[in-house]
Amino acid sequence: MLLSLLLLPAAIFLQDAPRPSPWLLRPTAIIQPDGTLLEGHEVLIQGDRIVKVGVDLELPDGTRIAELSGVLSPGFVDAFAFLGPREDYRPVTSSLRTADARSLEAKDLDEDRLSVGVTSFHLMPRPTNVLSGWGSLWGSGQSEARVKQSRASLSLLPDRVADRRLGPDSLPGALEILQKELPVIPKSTHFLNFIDTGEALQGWRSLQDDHAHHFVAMDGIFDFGGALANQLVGLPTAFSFLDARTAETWRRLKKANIQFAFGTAQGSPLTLRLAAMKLSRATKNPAFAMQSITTHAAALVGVSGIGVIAPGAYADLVLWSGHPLDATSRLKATMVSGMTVYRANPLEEK
Amino acid sequence: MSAQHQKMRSSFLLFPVLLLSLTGFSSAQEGSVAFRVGTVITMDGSTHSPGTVVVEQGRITAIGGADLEIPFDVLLKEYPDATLFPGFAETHTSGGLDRANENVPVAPFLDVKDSIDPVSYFFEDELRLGTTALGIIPGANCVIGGRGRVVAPAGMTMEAMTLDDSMGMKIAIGPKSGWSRSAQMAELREAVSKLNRDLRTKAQDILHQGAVKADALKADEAGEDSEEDGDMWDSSGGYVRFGEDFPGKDLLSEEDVDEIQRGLVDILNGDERLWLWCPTATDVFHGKTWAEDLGLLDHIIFVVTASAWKAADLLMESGRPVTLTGSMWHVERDPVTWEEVRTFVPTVFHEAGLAFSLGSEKSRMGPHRLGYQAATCIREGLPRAVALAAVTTNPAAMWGMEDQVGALKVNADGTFVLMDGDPLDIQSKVLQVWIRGSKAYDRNTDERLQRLLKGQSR
Amino acid sequence: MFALLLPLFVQDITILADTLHLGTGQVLSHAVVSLENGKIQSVMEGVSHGFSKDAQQPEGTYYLPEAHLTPGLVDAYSFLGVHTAGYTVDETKESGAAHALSLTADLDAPGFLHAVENGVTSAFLSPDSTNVFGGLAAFVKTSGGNPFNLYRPALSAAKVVNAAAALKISLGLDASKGNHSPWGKPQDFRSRRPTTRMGTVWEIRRQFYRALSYKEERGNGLADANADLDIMLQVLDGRLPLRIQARRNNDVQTALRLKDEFQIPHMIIEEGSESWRAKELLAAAGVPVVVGPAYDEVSRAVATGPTLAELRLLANPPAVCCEGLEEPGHEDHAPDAHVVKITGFAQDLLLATTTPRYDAAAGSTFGRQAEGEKATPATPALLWKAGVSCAIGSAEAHDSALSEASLIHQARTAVQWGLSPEQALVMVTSKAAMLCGQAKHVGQVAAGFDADLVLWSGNPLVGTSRPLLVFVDGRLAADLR
Repeated sequence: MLLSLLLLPAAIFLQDAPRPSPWLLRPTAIIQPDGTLLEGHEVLIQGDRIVKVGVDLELPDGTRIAELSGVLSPGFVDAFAFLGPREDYRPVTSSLRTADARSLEAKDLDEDRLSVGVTSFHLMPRPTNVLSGWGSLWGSGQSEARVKQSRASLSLLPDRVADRRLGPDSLPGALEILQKELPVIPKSTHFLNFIDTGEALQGWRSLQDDHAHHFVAMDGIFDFGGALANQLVGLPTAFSFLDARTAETWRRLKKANIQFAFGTAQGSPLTLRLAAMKLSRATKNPAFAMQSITTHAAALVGVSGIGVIAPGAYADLVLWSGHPLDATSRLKATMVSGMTVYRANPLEEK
Repeated sequence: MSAQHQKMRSSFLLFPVLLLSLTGFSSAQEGSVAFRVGTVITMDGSTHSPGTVVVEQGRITAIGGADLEIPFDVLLKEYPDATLFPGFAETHTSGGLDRANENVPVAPFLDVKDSIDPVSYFFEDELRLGTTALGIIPGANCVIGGRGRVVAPAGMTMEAMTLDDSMGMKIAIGPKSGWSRSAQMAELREAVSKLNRDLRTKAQDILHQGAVKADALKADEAGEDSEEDGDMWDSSGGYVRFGEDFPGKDLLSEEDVDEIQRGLVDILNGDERLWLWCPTATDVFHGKTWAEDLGLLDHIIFVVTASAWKAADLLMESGRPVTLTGSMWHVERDPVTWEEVRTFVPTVFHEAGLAFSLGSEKSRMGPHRLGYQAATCIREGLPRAVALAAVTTNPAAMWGMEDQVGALKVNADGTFVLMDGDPLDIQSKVLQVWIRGSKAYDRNTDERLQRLLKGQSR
Repeated sequence: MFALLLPLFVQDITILADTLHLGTGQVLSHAVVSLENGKIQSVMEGVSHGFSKDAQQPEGTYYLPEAHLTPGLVDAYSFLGVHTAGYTVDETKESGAAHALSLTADLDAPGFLHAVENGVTSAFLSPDSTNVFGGLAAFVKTSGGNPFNLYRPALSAAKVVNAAAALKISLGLDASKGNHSPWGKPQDFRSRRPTTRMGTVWEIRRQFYRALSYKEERGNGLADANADLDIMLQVLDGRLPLRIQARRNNDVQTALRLKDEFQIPHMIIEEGSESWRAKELLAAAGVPVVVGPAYDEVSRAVATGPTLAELRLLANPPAVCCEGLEEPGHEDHAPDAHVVKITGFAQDLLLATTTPRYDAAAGSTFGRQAEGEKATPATPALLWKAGVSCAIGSAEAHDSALSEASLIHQARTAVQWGLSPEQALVMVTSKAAMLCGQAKHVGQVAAGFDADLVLWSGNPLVGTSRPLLVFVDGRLAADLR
């Protein structure tokens, strides 16, 4: 650890009001989701976006320079996090928007997310209705959504959608409801399909619906993973209890060219990084694991510009003491939309 | 009032009927019959086709071919197309009992004789399927379950059914329901420790009282009640023969031991056969060790389930017989791929050189019948002789009754089953069952079966 | 166990068998069967060949001496892949006629592997009986489909052959379970009819009448399309068979009455535990029966238990007078003053202890315990003797890895209880195929039929025989040698 280099940038990180002037960050190294480690590279930030990435960048007037010790990685993207308790018992609640539900009064908004490097998260309604409503994308700690209507939620989880008063009671009932509703839903709607059995997948295919969709396999993916080859699939981090069967399943999924996108669902944000670490160990492929919580997660949400360090992307960056998926690395600071919103051990920089 | 009158009237009617039936009896000797049939499978090494079996006063007196001479006063029955064989033997079961176990974990004082229900449907079913001897013993939900006995499935009273009352004691190594194995073994050890403490205490009492029994030296006259105190328990010393010596040991008599613990003394003395319930392979290890520590290995018969195939070597080492209960297949699931791996256990036992017997589960009609299980063994590649022995002579040997049941030989019980085909053929029907020279079952008069076959309702 | 290197493509295959059961009751010896493109190309008899067991056989030729070749067994009544409620039957409404089981059956279920290993090559999957109208049954091959499961070898899942093999209706107690009257309990979609057996029949009648008026209204352009009622019309027209589950004698008779009332062309009774009691009626009406599996506990089938009269007597024994007792105050009393009446809990206890206790037959529908007291394993034999067309099914027997009650065992049991061996084999092959609407495709070894065959180590009806090779659609699905 090069403590001397921290003397100057300490001053910069103590500020928390956004500044209009650009910042140049000079970390020891930059790590990209595809695994590329760029040493000696710099990142130029203006406002809430990244402007340039490279070496010996031409700097506009008034650029402040921050020499950072550590590895800079894109902030993690939580592909789906569920909001609150069950809202409504009707099977179809398509006007529901999670963007309306976020509480702005919490004092330490998203502190738990920021402390583990999750810089953006996709808030989805709970999949307890067949069509639950709209998700929204947020930057951690921010009070305005980045995307107010991202993906629509479609659930074929019989245990969760079953309702004794209003129905449906089971999978065929849910399929029947979808058969009626899907034709009248706008073609531009992009669904996240929550399924947990091969039968649900089979049933969905029988509807022959042509809305764009991605599957989120809430459970039992070993049962139907074989039918999802070459697709991007969401996986809850709760699934990452690493027993031999899970590890082998993940390897087989990767072999079938399935791309993972992790979401915490109902769990703690800490599990996001842990899931990626376990995936890295199971598949012996850290880059693949990094993608599962950055670019692939972004693709599942349908938003570009998060989870990458590239011109035009949101300036969501996290500074680590080593490789982000290394268990011995620790998080040093988190930046969201160009603002440093979290620092670990502020007193240490002396 | 009217009920009483009705009762009396019916008993008036019953008496002449009984009288008639008694006087109508044939002049032939009771328990004597001869059968000449298409095939006689003796399970004693020979098969006669055609064959003849002669039974006199409940015992087999001659076996031979078609030309065997038959005594003049024995009724001859001829069935040229039928097969005769000793009948299946159910080694170890808790069917036919009111309840398989008591709640008390250590119960060496229990005996199945108090619980066998002769009119239970269980025995009727066994006859129908051609089983001629059953080892009835308490169930597995215990630590020490009690005594069992070998019975024939025919008779109006328990005494009439009994073939042998010294089958042995049930001891469970596999834990009682809700218990852990450590608790189970602890209870077993505690029972023995408690017994030892109590015996030493009692011996001290006797010594302190100065009541030296006059006949203490007559301890070798087994079973004699020297003081004639009117009970069946022996009061001469020398009852306790196991373990280390302690003061007054040779003065202890059967009467001195608490009746709740007498059974345990018999066990430790080595006077009881022990049926050791070891449902998993690990239990086999613990059971064997426990028995060896007490010097009782030679009295053990292992009662196992399919998972014991993993302990086949250990069982072979012990040199003791094994009875397999429940399913003959063991299924395991690969933890990663969930692929099922099935092992056919009798093959493993046979290849390890074990003497084993098969047992059917409670369900009788399906593939768990003894005959069908033996056929399944042959299906999986075992020799016919081994498969048949597992359901006839091996159980008899485990009961210590090789000369009495399980095989047709001279002086064995005149107990056999008449079938219309090979015993292992699922399509063979049991035509008649004879127990000790008396007919116990006849398919033609099996009312319940006929009702099912002809589709009649009550 | 599966040999993992089984061919994935269909090759031309020749099987030589010393004994060939055609599936119609006929037996040929020294037969040669050739398979091409998944179908049976030809069957020849009396062919002598130079093959012996030890000689090297050319690729694609199979000869096992003393083996018996039979058609692949057809399970005419199966719950393979059918999970209880939750996944395959939606109970929001009792009349989900248009729900197709093929969409929600678990075609990856391990039960299909067990079925293949037991020689069953095709199965009629019947919807569960938790709804009055269970939906559309599916006819599947037990192998040849692509599994979704990551760990399963290719082509080891079931494959749907007919997604609308029949409409399933359930009579009896099963469908009304879970429903309750609206009083006293919270309102939910189960606060509805039927709650009784007659309510179930009411629901059936209601739907049929609705279908009839829907037909008229559609004709006049007055009604919107209704998928459920369209299915009902197909049944009434005879384009779709009707499978009606009836266990008790009165349920079987109810089914026959419904047939008459609505002139249903193709009706098949399913399960039929007590159908033997109505065998004359069935024979007269020409209605076939697919018989469910025989129970495993003899006493359960044999013991008829105390009659109702006997139970009443036990519960309320006649008055016993205290005549003879020397207690004061007993001289003048009413005749019933000393009757010992057993009431309430004690009465229930008495009834509970005097009714025979049974081991439960496992199954996805639990009504079997309550509705089959007069069942007998001789049902196939009795029905056949009375001239009723009959096939045998195994329900959920293949679900468990340990179960040895598979379809061939059911056939063996039937023989044991009086059915002729030829008929037993027919009832699990060609007759079963006929009652599943697949008479021209499976169940027989004949040219043009699907190449579904099983080579057994001996006569399949003998307990010492087991399947050695199982072919489904001309592909070796299991090699168990």
